[in-house]
Amino acid sequence: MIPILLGVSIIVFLLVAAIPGDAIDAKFGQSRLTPQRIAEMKAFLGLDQPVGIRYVNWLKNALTGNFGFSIQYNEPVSHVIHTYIWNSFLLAIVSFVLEMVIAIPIGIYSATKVHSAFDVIFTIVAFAGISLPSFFLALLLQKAFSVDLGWLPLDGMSSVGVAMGPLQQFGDVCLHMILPTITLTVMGIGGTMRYVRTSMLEVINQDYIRTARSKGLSERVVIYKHAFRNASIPIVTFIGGALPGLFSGAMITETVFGWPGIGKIFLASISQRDYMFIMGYVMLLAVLVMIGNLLSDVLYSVVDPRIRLK
Amino acid sequence: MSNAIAKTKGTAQKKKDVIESPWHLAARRLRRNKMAMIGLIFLVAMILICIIGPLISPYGDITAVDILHAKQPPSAAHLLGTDTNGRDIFTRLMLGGRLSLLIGFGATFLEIFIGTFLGCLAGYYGGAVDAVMMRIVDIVMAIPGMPILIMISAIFSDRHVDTGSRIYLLMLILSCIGWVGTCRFIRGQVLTIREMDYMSATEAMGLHDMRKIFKHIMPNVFPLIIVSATLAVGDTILSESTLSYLGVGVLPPYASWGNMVQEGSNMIDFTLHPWMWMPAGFCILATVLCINLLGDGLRDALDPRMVSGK
Repeated sequence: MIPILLGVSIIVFLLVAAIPGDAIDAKFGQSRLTPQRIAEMKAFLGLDQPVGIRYVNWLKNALTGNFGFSIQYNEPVSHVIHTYIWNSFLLAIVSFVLEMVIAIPIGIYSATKVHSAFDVIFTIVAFAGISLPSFFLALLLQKAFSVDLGWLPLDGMSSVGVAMGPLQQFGDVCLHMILPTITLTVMGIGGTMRYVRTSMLEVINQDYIRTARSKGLSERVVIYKHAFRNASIPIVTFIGGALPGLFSGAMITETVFGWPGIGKIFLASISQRDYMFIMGYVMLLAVLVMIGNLLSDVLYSVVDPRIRLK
Repeated sequence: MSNAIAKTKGTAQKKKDVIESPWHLAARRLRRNKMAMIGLIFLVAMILICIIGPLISPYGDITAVDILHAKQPPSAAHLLGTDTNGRDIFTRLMLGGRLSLLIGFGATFLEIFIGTFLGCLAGYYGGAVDAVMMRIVDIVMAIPGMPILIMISAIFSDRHVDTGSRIYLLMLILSCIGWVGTCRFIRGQVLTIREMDYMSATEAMGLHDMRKIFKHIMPNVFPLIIVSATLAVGDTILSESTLSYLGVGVLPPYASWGNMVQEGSNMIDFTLHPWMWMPAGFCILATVLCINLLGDGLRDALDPRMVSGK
């Protein structure tokens, strides 16, 4: 794991360094600061050093938990991440729960009625969800529910310039998060549905299911008690592996809806040349991916006693 | 009685099996899959329209500007209306389709080619080659794809790469991120095939390594390559359209479905001129959906072990 993260950090650092111009140029390039003052600031931030030295400096600091200073926000990167990551998490967790609640029953039912009208319709729905570009879905929802019907706010996380009590504030945020949540749910639901269906199908044709049926057990018991128990092994590991991803933010969806999440901040940070934030965020994503893989491996042996025996 | 019928059916089946090659069988299974066939037919139609359409269209010049007829709603002269510069949207849609499909297929071909080649080498030779290759794969896999693609594309913008060669660079970077999945997958397949008896036979015959890989291993992984390639085309088109939507992929004057959606993203065009951005988005959805349906059908047809529910 450590060598992988090291490799990722080197590649990403080189890429970031390949963007011409730096944070000081982006922030003060248009201002009336003298070239001398700009050079001083660059020297202060270590931006005048060669790439190799800058990387080693970054790495030393990162190992002590210091991910540098975000030039865009005048705050340490870890603060910026801490400020915005929870907004992203809020969207992600709600849509994740919705996804599971909707996708798992549909997946199971599809698998028990393969090639029925129900199965065909939801196969197409699932594939449509996978095939939709997120920005287009977001725009369609905005057009339909905010512009044409006027039911929901167009973007942002809360209404601006309105005095509200805490309860109203909560309601306001809820109202603002409906559309982005729907977007994320639709994007994710297809994959989960197909995954549950496949896991279920693999189990449902096995001999012990036939045995259970021939014992005269009711179909409900056969499906939910005998089949789903085993089918849930891959599903649980799938869910476990997806959990860290809830913190990674949704760049496109957050940007279209103006939701102040970590993904939107990242997209903005690229044009701001906010090196330190870019590095911090990309490394955060890499770590989340690794934790996800680890989690699903661990869960696999926890849930499946057959693996533990080996 | 029923036994006898089953028996004659069985022999008939057997006779057929003797005549039919695996490819014929797969083709027959695919033809039975209605959704996959609809996907295939629609996809072929889409490709043909995009290639031939602009040749016939009276508005084939991508740089022609006709401000007098800008932002017109759909009419007989302009089936889907005109855009900000008075260009016919239907024609641009076909031109955009050309690029989106070209990039989708081109980048996928590259990534599958690289991934298969390296995967075969790693799986066949094992040892140090395999170890080094898999570490590289691990690292590239841990790099978050979309943020990195956006960053690299931003570097192109800063370095003022001209819009024409950008298209090819875009293909290159998409495949640079995408090859690792194929590589790992193919390596796993080659590892199992390498241990099979007929491979020992090739060993005994003293065949050359390259001949073993390309004549005896490759044909066995080829069906799997086709399936993952098909699904990868859809993903690539989605990535490309997202980048173009963000303004860092295919840039004007070249049309791509992604940047056509983006053209309608200012508030006035978004609310009042939906024909400017909606058709392109639906084109992406329809094309990627068809590719995914086809890919799913191909998986069922080509990989008998994964037959769903029969």
